[in-house]
Amino acid sequence: MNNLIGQKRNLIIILILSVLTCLLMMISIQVGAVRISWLEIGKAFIQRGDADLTYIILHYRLPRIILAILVGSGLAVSGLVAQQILRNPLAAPDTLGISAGAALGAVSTVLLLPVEMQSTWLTSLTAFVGGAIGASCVYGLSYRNGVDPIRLALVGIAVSACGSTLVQLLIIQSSTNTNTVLLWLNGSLWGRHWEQVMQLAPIIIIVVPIIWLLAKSLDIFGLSEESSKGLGLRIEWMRAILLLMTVILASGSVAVVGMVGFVGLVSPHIARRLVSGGHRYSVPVAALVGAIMMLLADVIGRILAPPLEFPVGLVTSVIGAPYFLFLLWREYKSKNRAG
Amino acid sequence: MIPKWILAVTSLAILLILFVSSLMIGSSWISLATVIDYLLHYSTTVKEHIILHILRMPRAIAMMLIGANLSIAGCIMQALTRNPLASPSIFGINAGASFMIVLCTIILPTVNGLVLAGAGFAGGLITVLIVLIMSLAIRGGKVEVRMALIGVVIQALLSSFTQGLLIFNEESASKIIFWLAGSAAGVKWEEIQLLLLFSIIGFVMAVSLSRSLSLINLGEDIARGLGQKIWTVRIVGSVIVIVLAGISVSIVGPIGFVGLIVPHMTRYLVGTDYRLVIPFAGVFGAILLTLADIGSRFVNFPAETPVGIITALIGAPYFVYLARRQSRSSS
Repeated sequence: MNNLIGQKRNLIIILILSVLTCLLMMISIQVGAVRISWLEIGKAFIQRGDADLTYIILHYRLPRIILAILVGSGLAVSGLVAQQILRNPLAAPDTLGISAGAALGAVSTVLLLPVEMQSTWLTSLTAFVGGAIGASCVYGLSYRNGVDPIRLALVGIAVSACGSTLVQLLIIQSSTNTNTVLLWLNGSLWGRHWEQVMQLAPIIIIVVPIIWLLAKSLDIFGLSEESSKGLGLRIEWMRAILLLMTVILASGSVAVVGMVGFVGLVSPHIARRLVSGGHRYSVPVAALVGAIMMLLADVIGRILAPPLEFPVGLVTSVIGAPYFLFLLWREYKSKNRAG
Repeated sequence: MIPKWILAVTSLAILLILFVSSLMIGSSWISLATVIDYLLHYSTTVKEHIILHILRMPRAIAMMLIGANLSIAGCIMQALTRNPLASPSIFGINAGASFMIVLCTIILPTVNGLVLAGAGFAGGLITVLIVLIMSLAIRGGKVEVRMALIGVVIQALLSSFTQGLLIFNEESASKIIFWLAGSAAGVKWEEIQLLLLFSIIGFVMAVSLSRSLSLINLGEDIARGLGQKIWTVRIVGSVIVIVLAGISVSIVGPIGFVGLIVPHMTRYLVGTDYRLVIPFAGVFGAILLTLADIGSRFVNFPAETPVGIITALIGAPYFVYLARRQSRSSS
């Protein structure tokens, strides 16, 4: 009976979050350098509106919104899986060095290879390689009789610092364009079109549902070490496969929008506070929370000082960092009470 | 352990050699004879002398002073918090100072050095207050490591604010980005005067505080038992850190990891008596940053690379090493 009430509550939360996402999408289409009325938006979708406005909506705002949702859910699910399989509440694409590694991979492809050799696929691939290298560095360096959560975070910070310094070095050497620097180091949705949506969409649309199907296996990682070990070798395989998916999701997102901070770290915590009942629910909820966080950050970035816009990654850091501090404080408090 | 006077003589000799090399090396090579000639009698008719006087000399002096400042600030922070991971960059003081300075340059584009230094102090002060409040809110457990994590998060927050400010000022943004990476290219003599003044004040204060620092480093209870006023030492120490880090950031931008590495090096070589650690850390810091500055001219020769990038690439692996060692000793 209790279980049934819990399920109902979870479904209602998913519904509320979906409605919130839709609302933010509509606001996001409306606001920006040019404010567009609902009527015009409606007309644009049935191809009856003003040609310029239709162009703005279909070629600037819409891809941008879809990209925000894709990146947000990709990073959030990536963080959720990482935290679960590593049993580490501080694991996330940023702290695991995946973001910095992926950015380094993507930036070196974009800046160092001649234009005719470049393709979005190659960028995604090098980002993935960079992300995987970053993650293995962090995991390897913080391993010492197991991985202590805070040690992992510190090592991750240092490895990320190295990665973003190298990104900075590459950019300073090749161009001094402010937008490129801000874009790669902070993550930005500026100037993103359908091409980038097409680059990221297949990854998210394939990998996130697979993770959702593996929700039962994810739950197993939450059991105590002994009981999950009892299930034998399969769990190590599962861990490897899930870790690979984490890297794919995060580096795919970074390859398209640059390093977006704190979304992958904070969204899983919010998701777990919102729903109970295993990863069947927390995977979609985390994805929705991540999407909402990105959409919200993007809208805030655009309405603060139009026509200027703040990179979305800056806004997510400003929202996410205090929440992260709050998490640390709460974790410390609960530990103190227990001890 | 190596006798102190040998260590002092060797390190000063190394510093002198590096100082002279830093004058000689650059996009145009200047011979040792010309450098000595310049140091003895400067003449405005010789082209090399002008290069040395306008470009290389202020830069070399700035690097030495700032290396010393950041290292001494790091020493004081590590002693006060008894935290081997403490340093102006890790705890966000550099980031706080940068934020205020960038804010200042954007609001008042024609601002002078003294105001910028003041902005640096204000930014440093804000960060120190945040870190202090956090350290009061979060006690117990592996507090050292947790503090470092909080510092890094605050740093991320502050640098997000700084980069957000850049959006308002597209024209000078690329200049500010270069400055934010930490670079001593283009330091002027007026800035050196200001830097020298505050560095000397900070250094004298640090030396006079060094005995108390050694005692606090033994443990707060012991220090209190020996008649130390813990909070006075903490406040004075924080003021010194703010002055030293703030003035450095206002002139060359945030340079990371020097303040983290050098205190460890120094304690390894001279022990934990802060009356010795502070002056030695100053010299070692000057050596490290001068070396990094010389290195920065070769990375992308003949173009300049910000020196902060070099120190970050040296310092980040060292931070990994410290973080690994730290959690082993406390578990």
